[in-house]
Amino acid sequence: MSRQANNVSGHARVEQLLRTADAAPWADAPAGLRERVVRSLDGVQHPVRGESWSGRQAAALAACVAIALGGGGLGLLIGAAAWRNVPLRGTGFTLAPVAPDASAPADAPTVLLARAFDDLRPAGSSSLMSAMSAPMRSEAAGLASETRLAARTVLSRLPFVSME
Amino acid sequence: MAGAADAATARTPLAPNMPGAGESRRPGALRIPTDEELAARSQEGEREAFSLLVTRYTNRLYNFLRRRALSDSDAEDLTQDTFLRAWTKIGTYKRGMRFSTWLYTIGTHLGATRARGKRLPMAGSMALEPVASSDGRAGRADGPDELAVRLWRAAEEILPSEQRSAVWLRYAEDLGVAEIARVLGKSRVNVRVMLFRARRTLISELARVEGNRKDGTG
Repeated sequence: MSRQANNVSGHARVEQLLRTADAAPWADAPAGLRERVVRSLDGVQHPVRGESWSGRQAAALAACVAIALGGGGLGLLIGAAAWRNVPLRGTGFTLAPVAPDASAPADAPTVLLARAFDDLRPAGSSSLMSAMSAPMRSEAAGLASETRLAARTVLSRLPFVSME
Repeated sequence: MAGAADAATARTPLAPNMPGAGESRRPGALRIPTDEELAARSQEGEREAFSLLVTRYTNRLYNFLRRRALSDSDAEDLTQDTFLRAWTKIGTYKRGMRFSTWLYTIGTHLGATRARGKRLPMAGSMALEPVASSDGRAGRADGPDELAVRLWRAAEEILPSEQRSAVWLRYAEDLGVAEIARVLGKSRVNVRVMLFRARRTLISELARVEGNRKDGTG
């Protein structure tokens, strides 16, 4: 018999002997080990049934986040529509246009963003603007122009705002 | 009634080479749930199902961990910790996977973690004492399986611990190569090589034992 055949038969014989019933040296577990294990399980709550944090509180947290995101999105939608005085498409209602507060003092330093960005200027600006020096006036006009452009760009990216 | 069911389950060996294997699953007999069914029920929160698994696996897990732990008391503690971890992680058990593989994998990881914590070699360098079980089977050397018993004893004494674990899982627990690879965290090729080397060592040992018997010194 060749060496390889000898080798194969040797492996097969060892396998056969190792598989012999009752030959493996099974030890008996110490008496009481099972009871010890079962007792130790008594102190542990089942993780899937929801007694642990991960199951129950994660779901509540997810619900809170969903509500916050939904509310925030809706608020953004309504706010943008009110700002631009356009009807909310598909929602079936229109918000009242925003008008400057006539009771505000003429030279109040408040800047009112009204009627979109087309007339972004200091409210009651005639006296305020005339009080400014020429360089400051041109600076303010430039700033207003840049702000208007930036806001228009941002708004044009929003899917629910029309820039017509 | 429940006690009778427990006793029946405790007698249900799942490894074919385990003592008493094959005495259940008679046709027409009351159907005993498989380990995987019990694990699935445990996932639903059924504590009794997991207790049955503990009954089935205490001895088997202890015997496996005994080959990887540093002492018998370590193996006891590891067995308890493994069941605890299995219960707390039962949600991660994938249905369809063999439960024994999953359980032994947890035991292997826990053993490795514990050994690292103690800065000890990962698997037992302790040579296992031959254990005489309740019927004195392992110590018997005059029965028809004398050679097999001696070969197992040699495997316990001379094989490196990883090879010993692989041999135990393959021939005593009847796990497949892929399952052993998962339990031991090795590749399948690695496991095949380990088993091949273990058998080669045992072939030499077998030749030595048989030579001694011919000479009348065995």
